[in-house]
Amino acid sequence: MAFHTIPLRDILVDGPEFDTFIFTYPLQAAALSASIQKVGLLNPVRLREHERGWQIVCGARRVLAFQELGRQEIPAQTMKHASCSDEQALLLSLADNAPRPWNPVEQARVLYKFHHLCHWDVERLAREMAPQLGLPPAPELAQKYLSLLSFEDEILLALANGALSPAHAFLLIPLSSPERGAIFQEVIQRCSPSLNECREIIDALLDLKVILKKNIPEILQAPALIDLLRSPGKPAREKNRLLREQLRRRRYPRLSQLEDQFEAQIKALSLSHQTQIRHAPYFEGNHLEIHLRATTNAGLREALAHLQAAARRGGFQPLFDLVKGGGQ
Amino acid sequence: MRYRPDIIFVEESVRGEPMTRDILSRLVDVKVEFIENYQALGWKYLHPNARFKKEKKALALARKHGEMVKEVERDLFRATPNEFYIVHSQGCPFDCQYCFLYDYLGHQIPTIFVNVEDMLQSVRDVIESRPAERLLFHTGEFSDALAFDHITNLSRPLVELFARYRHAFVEFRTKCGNVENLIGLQHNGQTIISWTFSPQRVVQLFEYGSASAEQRIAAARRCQQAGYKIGLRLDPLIRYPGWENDYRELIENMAAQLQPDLISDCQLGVFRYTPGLGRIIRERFPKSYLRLEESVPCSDGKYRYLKHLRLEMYQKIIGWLRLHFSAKRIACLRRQGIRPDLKIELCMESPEVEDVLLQQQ
Repeated sequence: MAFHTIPLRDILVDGPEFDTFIFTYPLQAAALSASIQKVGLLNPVRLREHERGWQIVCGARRVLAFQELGRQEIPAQTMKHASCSDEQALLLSLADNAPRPWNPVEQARVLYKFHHLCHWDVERLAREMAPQLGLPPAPELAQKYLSLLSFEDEILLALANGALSPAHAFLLIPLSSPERGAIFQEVIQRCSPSLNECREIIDALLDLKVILKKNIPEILQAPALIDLLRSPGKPAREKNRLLREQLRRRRYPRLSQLEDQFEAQIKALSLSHQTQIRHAPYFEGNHLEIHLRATTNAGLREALAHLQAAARRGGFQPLFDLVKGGGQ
Repeated sequence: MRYRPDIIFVEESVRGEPMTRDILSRLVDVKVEFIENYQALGWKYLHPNARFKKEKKALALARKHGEMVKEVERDLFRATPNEFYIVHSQGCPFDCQYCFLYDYLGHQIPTIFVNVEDMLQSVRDVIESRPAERLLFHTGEFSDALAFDHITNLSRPLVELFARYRHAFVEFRTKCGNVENLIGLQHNGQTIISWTFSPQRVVQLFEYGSASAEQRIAAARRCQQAGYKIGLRLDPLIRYPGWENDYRELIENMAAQLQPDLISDCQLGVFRYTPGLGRIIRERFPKSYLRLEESVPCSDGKYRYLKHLRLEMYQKIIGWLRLHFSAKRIACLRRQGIRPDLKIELCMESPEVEDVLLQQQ
């Protein structure tokens, strides 16, 4: 390895060779430019010889900052191609970055580069590389991180800056690019669903896609949904609740119909607000549960009298029919 | 099509087992790799489709540690006393979309436990320790009971063992037509061969690699001709557009081709799935109709069709079974002085559904 001052024009800063060994994402030089202007360059960059110039191994942000500052050359440690393999270059770059925490996109980029440039299989990535990145040594997880890099920039940026969690992002892996974009923009950004809520929404959308033979962006563009999602006055939690309710009604029309019939029958009984009648979850039981709330003996007598009168009229029979057979 | 692996993983500890040698001698041109422990196998990081395809092309020969005969605790809704599983293998060469093993086993590499003598001794121990009780042993819980039989010949010692006891029965449950080993054995009526009978459309859509509906009926007929009683297992019942016609035709075909007096019983169960299996099905078959009917979580944590949809299915299927089997069966069995009703049971169904069905009968 030798120390030189290298003209910036000889360093590859575009084309596919530029970020071969760079893990940093997003690659922004602004903050570093100010620091370099103030205290100068503390560490020289590391460059590897390339047929078209010098390839950056360590210090991409420093090179970009020098460019931004209008400098013509930069101090560098240079290496011959033959003396530094791709794997050695990646390991150098890893060591250069090591003291700082990685964001999920950078973790994915490290795994991806060792996978594709050095042909490490997923099991080796999990075993040897994941722990260095602060990830559990699980091949399934390494595989998921590798998949993240097919995502669009907008989603990667959200992932890198913490606006989107890796667990949420993993839910988007099986989706196509337009589906992923629609769910990210319309659902995740507007409704802030928890992980379970997000899974519920995506599952419902995937099912509806097959049932309705429509794609997910189309389903989300339905007037009732888009009005709800883009309504400026509603807080995210409310949008989230209403969206899930609407999707559930579309995904489970028979169950929703049963619930509506049940509610209509209860209304027809004209019972007081102190009396609540419930069915077993999802109509699995054959029974009704009746809850009475009373604060006085007279109030209890009155509520029981109402119930008895309704029972004498046979008013509960349609409810029993519903819970036993679901109105077949 | 008979199962044949691309690679065989053999645990070092079972190299010398007679069944290992037998199996390897029948599959001489298949690559063999010796391993420490079958449980460490599998390619979990692959997408389930690639993973299961790769895993099902392999075979593992291993030693079963722990119990090889387990008491049945299958049905949370109903006690299953005196019923046992014989754990002779795990994993299955077929690829049924709905198979619970995908969410149950650590990997899907079909694994044969070759310490057969340990297994047979465990079976004998249970049978002889309970001489006054009617015992039933299942062999198809963690694998298809007959899919490997051309490789293992395991059915022979099992049938012969059970033939010696009047109070113990063994049931082979299968989706294949691999019954050659059974024909000609002295079974003394102690062996029941059961098939999952599904309409051909269900076989094509959801039960990849298994025998066709007609092949299953033909194999059942062949076993009846050899004197075996057979079990009708319409489980899982799957709901899809046109299910009624398909199931009615299936029942008509079965009734036309099978001897009603050699049917032990009939079990019905609707398609059900754990949340984990639901995720696997969605990931593997995103366009499959299997999960699209409205299913709800039940008290055992599994998802089933809405209760009124299940009731509708059971009512219709039971009606067709009674219509097409009962008259023939009554005529046959009355002559032999045997109770003529076709015994129909629900499998893994809630007491609430059973209550409604009982009230309607």
